Amino acid sequence: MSAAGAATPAAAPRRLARRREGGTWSLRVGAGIVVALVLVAVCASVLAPHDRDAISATDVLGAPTPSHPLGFDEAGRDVLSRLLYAYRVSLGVALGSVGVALLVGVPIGLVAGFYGRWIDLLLMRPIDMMLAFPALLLSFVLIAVIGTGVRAAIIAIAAIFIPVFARVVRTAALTVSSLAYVDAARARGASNLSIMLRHVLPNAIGPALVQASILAGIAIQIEAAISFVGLGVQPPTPSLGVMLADGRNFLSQAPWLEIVPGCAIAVSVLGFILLADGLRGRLDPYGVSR
Amino acid sequence: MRIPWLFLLRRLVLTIPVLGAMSVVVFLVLHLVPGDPARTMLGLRATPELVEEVRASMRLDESLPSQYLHWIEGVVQGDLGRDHLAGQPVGEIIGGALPVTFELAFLSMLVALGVGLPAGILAARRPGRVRRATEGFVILGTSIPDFWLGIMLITLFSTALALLPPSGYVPFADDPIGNLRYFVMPALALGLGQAAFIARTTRAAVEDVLRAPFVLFLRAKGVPEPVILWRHALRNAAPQIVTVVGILTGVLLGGAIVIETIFGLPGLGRVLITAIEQRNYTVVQGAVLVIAATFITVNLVTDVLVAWLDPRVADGGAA
Amino acid sequence: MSALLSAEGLSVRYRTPAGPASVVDRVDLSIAPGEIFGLVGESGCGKTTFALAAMGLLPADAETSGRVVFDGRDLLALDDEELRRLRGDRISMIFQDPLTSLDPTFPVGAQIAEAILVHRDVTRAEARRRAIELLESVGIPDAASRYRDPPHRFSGGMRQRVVIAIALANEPALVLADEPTTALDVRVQAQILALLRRRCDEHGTAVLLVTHDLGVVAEVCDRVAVMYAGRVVETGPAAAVLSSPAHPYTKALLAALPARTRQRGALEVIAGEIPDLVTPPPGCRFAPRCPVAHERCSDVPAMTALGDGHHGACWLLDGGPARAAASPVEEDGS
Repeated sequence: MSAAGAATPAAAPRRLARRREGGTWSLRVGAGIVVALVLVAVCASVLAPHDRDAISATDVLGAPTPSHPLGFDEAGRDVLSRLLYAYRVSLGVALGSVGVALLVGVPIGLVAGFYGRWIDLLLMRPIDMMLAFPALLLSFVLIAVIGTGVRAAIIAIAAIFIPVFARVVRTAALTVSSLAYVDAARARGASNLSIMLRHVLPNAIGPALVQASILAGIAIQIEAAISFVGLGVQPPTPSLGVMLADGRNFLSQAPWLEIVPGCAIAVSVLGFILLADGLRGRLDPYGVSR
Repeated sequence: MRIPWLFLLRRLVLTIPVLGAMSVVVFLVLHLVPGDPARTMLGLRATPELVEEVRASMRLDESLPSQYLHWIEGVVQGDLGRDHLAGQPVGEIIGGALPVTFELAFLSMLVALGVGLPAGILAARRPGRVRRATEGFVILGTSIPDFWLGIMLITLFSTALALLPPSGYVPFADDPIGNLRYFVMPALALGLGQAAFIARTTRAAVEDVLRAPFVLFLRAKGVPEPVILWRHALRNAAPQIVTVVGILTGVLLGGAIVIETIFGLPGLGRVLITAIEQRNYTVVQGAVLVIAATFITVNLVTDVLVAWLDPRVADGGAA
Repeated sequence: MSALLSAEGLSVRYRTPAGPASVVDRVDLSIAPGEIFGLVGESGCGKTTFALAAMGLLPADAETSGRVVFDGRDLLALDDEELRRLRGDRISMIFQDPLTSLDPTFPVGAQIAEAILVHRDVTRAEARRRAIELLESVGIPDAASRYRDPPHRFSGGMRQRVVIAIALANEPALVLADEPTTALDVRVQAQILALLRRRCDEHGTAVLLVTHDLGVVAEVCDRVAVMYAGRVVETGPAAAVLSSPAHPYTKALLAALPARTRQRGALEVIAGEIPDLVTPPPGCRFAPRCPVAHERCSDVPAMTALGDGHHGACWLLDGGPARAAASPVEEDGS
C-alpha cells in the first residue's frame, strides 16, 4: 500500500519550444560579414594590391585581368584597390554617424524614460517630430546647411539617427524604470544617476545596439545616395556612392564599374541586417527596436 | 462601418501645430547657414547692387521672427518667395514639378502594394518554403539600394534591350502611353524595395490575426476559410499595413529625390538637388516645405483610414 | 432513447518535442438530446481538447483516433467542408474569454447575421431582423441600435451574451460550452448560466458544459462526467455523482471545496501533480496521487456500473458497491 500523499513528481506540462526570432544562423553570418567588412576597411592599405590613385592613360576602362581582378576605371585606376578604400570611407561614415548618434541619443532617451512625465514630454516632442520627417529629405536639408564632404555627411546622417536611438532607449528605459528592483535600489538610497547608469542603462542598451546595426546598414545606403548626387563625399576621395556616380557614365563599355559598388553596398547592408536579426533574440526580448 | 468624423476633426486640428512647427524648423535650419545667404547664392554673379536687391527681397535685414512671419504669410496665400537665380516665383517652379513627383510616388506605391500584398498574404497562408522565399525577398529588397536597382534596370531595358527610354518625361495629358513608359522603370526601382517591406508587414500581421481566438470562434461558427481570410483577417491586419504605407511614403519621397535624378524626371527631387547645389535657399525652403507638408497629409489620411478600419482606435483606445 | 452525441474511444495525441503526449485517452461519453451534460476536471485534464476534437478544431499536429457519432455520422471521418457545414448550424461552440471571441472590427449585429447567412439562404435584411431578435432574446437592451456597435462597447458579460446569441442563431441540437463563465464575475456568471439554461430548455438544445467548477455542475447539469489526465474516471447523474462520489478523485475534488470543510483548518488539497502525459503511469493515471491505490491499479481500471447510469473507473468499485475500508475521506453527510 502506498502511503497517503506519496506522489510521483510530475514534469511540468510540455511546452513547444518557443521559436526565437533570428537565431544563431543570422547572428553568425551577419557578424561574419560585418567583421570581414571592418577588417577590409581597416586594412585597406595593406590589402590593396595597387595604389588607388595611380592613373594610367593606357588602361582606361580596361577589362579585368588576373592582376587586376576588377578591372580599371575611367582614369585607369585599379578598381579593386579603389573599392577597398571606398569601403573604408563608406564604412567610416556609417559607423561614425551611428557612433555619434548613440552618444547623443542614448542619454536623451535614458533621461526621458527614467524621469518620465514632463521631462519625457519635453524631450520627446521634438524627437517625435524629427522622426516624422522623411529621413533622406532631412539629410538633404542638413547638407544644404552644413555643406558637403565626409564630415558633413557624418553629421547629417547622425542627426537623423539621434531621434531613433532616443526613442528606442526611452521605451526600454520606461519599461525597466518601472520594475521593482529600481524601487528597491532607490529605497537603498542610491542616487538617480547611479540607478540610471547601473540598472537602467545596461538593460536599455540592448535594443539600442540592435537598432545600431540596422541603422549602420541604412547609413551606408544614405551615404551612397547623397554621394551619388554629388552632395556627400567629394571625389577624388572614393566612397561607394562616388564610385556609383562615376561608373554610371560607362555602363555600356564597362558595366562592372557600376555593378561592383552596388553589390558591395548590398552585401554590407545585408550583413548589418542579419547581424541585427541575430542580436535581436538576445538583446531585445521585448521587441523594442523596429 | 461608420466614418469617424470626430476622430478626423481631432486629427485635423492636431495637424495644424505640426505643420506650423515643421515650417519653423525648415525656416530656422536654412537660416543657420553661415555667411550672407544672398552673396553665397549669387556666387560669381554677386555685384553689390544685386546683393542689395536680393537681400531686400529676402528681407534679410529684418529680425528672424519677422522674416519668418512674412514668409508664412506668403505661404498661406500661395506665395513661396522668389527664385532669384531663375527669376521665377518659387511657387511656379514647385507647381510644375509637383505632379511629376506625385505620379512617381503614386505609381511606386502601386507597385509596392501590388507585389507586396499578395506576397505577404501568400506567405501567411502557406508557411514553409514560400515563407522562406518571402523572407529572402524581403532581405534583398531592404539591402539593394533603390537607385542602383534603377541603374541596373536602365542597363537591362534601355541599353541592352532598347525597350524603354532611359530618361525623359512627357506630361500625361499630352501622351498617356509615352508618359507611362517613362515611369515604368523608376516606379519599379522605387516600388520593389518597398514591396519587400509591405510583404513582411502583411505576412506578420495576417499570421498574427489568424492565431487570434476570435478566428477560432469564426471557424466554430462554420465560416468558410476564404471568408475568414478576406473578410476578417485582412480587415484586422489592415491597420498595421496602412500604417506601414504611411511610413513608407516618407521613404518613397526621399528615394524619389535620387530616382528623379537618374531618370531625368523633372520632379521636386531634381528641383531640390539643383537648388542645394546652387545654394538657392528660397527654392530649397519652398521645396522642403511642400514635401514635408505632403508627407504630413499622407499620414493624416492613413491615421483616419486606420480609425475607420478599427473602431477601437476611433473611440480613442489603443488598437 | 438514442444518444445525440456519442464518443467512442476518442483519443487525442499532441506531438511535443519530448514525444507524443496522450492528452485524451479512450474517452467514452454520450449525451442525450436536450440534456445539460457537465464535463468536469482540473486544468489540463483534456476536457477542452475533447470538445475541440468533436468540432474538428484541433491544430494540424494533433492525432485523433476513435469515433464521435453525431446524427448518425462519425464527425472524425467527415471532410473539412462537411464539418464546416455542421459547425454553427447543428453543433455550436462557445469559448471561455468573451473579450477575445468576437472580431473587434465588426459590429456585433453583423457577426450574428454572419452566422445565419453562412448556413441559411435568407436575405441580408431577414438575417438582420433575426439577429436583432436574437440580441433581444439574450437580454441586450435596445437591441436595434446596439446592433451596429463594435464589441469593445460591450462589457464582458454582454459580449458573452452576444456569443450565446451567435451559437444559438441556427437552433443547433448541441452546444459545446467551454468554461463559458470562468472569465466573468460571480453575479454575471449566474445570469449567463441561467440564460443558457433557459434558452436551451426552450429549444431542446443539448449542452456539453465544460467546467472546472463543481458549483456550476451542481447548478445546471443533468449528468456529469469527471475527467482526470485525459480519461473519464466517473460519470452519471449529477446529483448522484456529487452526493455519492465513487471515484477517489471525485471524492478528493469534492473534499477540496472550501464550503465542505467544516473544520477551521487547512483546506483539503490533493497532493502531487498531474502526470506527465508523454509518459503517463501505466494503468490508472490517478494512482500516484491516490490515497487508496494498490497493486491492481497498475492495470487500467474498467468502468464499473453502479446502478442508475452511474459509472466509476476504479478497481475498488469492482467488488460491487462496497467502498474500500481504508478510505480516508469521510462523507460528512453534507
